[in-house]
Amino acid sequence: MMASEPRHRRPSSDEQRVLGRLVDDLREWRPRQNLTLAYVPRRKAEASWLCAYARAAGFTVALRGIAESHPTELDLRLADEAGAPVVLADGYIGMTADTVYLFGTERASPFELWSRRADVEARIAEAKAALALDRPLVVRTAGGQVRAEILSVEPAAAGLLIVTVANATGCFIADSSIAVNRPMGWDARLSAPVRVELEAGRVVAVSGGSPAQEQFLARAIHVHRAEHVVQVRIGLRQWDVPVSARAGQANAARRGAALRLAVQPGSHYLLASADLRIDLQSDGKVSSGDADRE
Amino acid sequence: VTLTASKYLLVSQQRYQDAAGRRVRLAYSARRPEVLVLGEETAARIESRAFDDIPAAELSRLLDSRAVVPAGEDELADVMAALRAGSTDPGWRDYCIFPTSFCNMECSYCGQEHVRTPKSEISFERLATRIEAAFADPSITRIGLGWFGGEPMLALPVMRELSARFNAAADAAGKTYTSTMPTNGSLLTRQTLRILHDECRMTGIDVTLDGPEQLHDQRRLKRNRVGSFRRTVNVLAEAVRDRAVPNMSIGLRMNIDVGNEDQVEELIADLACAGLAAPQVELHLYPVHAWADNDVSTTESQARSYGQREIRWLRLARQYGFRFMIMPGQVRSATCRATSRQMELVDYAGRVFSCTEHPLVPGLKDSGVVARVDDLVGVTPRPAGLYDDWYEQVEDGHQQCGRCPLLPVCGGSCPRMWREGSVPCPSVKFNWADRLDIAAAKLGLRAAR
Repeated sequence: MMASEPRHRRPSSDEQRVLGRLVDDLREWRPRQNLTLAYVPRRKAEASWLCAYARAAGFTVALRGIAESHPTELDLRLADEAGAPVVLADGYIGMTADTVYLFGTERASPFELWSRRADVEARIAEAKAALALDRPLVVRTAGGQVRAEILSVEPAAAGLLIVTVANATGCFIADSSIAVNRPMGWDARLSAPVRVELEAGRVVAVSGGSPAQEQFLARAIHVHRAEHVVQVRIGLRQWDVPVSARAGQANAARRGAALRLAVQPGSHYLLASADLRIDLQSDGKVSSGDADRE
Repeated sequence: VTLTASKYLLVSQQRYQDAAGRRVRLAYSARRPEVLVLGEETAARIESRAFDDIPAAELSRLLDSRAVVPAGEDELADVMAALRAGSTDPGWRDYCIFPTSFCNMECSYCGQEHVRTPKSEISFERLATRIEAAFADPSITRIGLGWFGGEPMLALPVMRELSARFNAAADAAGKTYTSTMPTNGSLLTRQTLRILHDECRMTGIDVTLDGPEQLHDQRRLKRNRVGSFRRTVNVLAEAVRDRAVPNMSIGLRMNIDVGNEDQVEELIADLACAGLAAPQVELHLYPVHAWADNDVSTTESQARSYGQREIRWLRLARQYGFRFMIMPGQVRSATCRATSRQMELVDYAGRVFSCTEHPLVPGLKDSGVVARVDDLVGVTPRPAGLYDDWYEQVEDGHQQCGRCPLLPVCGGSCPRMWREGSVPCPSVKFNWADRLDIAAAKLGLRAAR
């Protein structure tokens, strides 16, 4: 495993390979040759390496140190920058669509996770092929099962297969992590399972998690109407990195399935909470029709 | 030199482990307000007065933070001297302006009297001239403005007009100033927020939200009977999200009493859902205090009980990502406006008061007048008011604050309430150990077994 906090050292040969590949990808994805590389303090070393490689490849790079905790601020800051945004951080969800996001965890460098990209892409392709629009999606969690209509299936580079669903019905038990597109200060790992009862695409009951999580979920779902199951997000990365205490893409891409709850357009309680999204992650299995698939 | 632990040092009994596995305890020094991480042995040596056994570098840190002081030092005298020096600082002026006495709400717990003022009685000309003189005076380097009411937003045109004059005076003198305002929030819009930020150069607002929508709109009832919760929260959330007022801090104040204490957690969750747990926003929880003419008394047992409940709310707020003051971070330069003649309150009719309680409370709005602004020459401080002898009372032992370990950061809170027999101590006096527990979590410390 690569070191998680590689300060004051040169990149290893593995890391150099990843950096080279990453810069090649950036050249393809961000041809305008003008990058804003934002990094959290613990990713300073990786940021300096990536900056050096990108500059050597002809990019103009602006480095920006960022705080870890407030994504809204980050989005706004990046929106003011001239360069295409690239972010090195550990915990975050809700980044704007054109941001290249390199995520790590407390135990793993972003470069380590990035280095397994080819393996992940093969898994995404395999999983996508196994899902059929004319058959229901079945999500089996410990003690629960959800069936839903599949509306679309889209891969995401991070190691996710995003299945847009309708009419989700059944019981979903989240036992891995929780993510909310708000800067929560809690430990994203679920200390107790969250049980979600679903009928016709809506949450009709929710319970479990820590007391703070249970309180938040009750208000978010029953008052702010983040009650609609809009996606099942299938994580396909197989790694031995533990679930992170920080909510973010590293948790989302872990092997398992997450239920994404959102507010249906036009049915918000407050305009301010209309964009609320909650991902409840389980280690469960997903299948289409009869074929189980991890 | 013989040393002793400061009487303004609090040491938690809770043990923690840092990332390296070292067992530590937390302490708080109120004389140089900061949370100190102490090795378990150092904490024990402080408690047993074995200062000679503390390593030199560690002892030096403790002396710097005033956690440990020379045994002969009269700390109370030093603290009171600092309060007096701050309160009489000739380079400082603070003006609290009451642009209106009216409020568009009728909150059940408010003891203020709100009346519409005839325009013929309103005059701020002399006050404006007085404040302009303060900006022009080279010996005055620190100026604070506060807008109070009633609901100050009802007098936004007055605030704009006066602010234009203050800005011109400040710019001409090359000075900056702070400007703050409590508001019920009902008149905030994207446009009025921008006016406050851009034209009035407001540096902070404190918006009161007393509960989830239904409870808030019931407790903070507008005279036109229309609720304000949704509109207020949406406006604030939009401003925060769009960075519309970047130089303005936003306080969310909850006035808490028996009528809403059971729904504080729901409100905190609602505000988190709305995206208001942001760097620009700070949460302020307050037990409702007694206004002069109502019968809400605050006893020590009530204050203790509130302190215990408050910790539960603060822990929740932290989990939802809110910022709030864990432990006071600054030594007070004055107890309150009533204990410094450099601070004055001036109402729409040019009456000068020393205590924020006086201008709108029946009975006191006449007896509490210490001067008329017309009678004050230049930048001369206001005459003494009812509470300008507060420091003497604390120092000679007439008030228990002289024995409180939080005196440097509190100053005694509210002299008026003490004299009326209430206990205005801040909640931190009763829940500081639990607050240090929150500080420990923020520092990444784990409870030790």
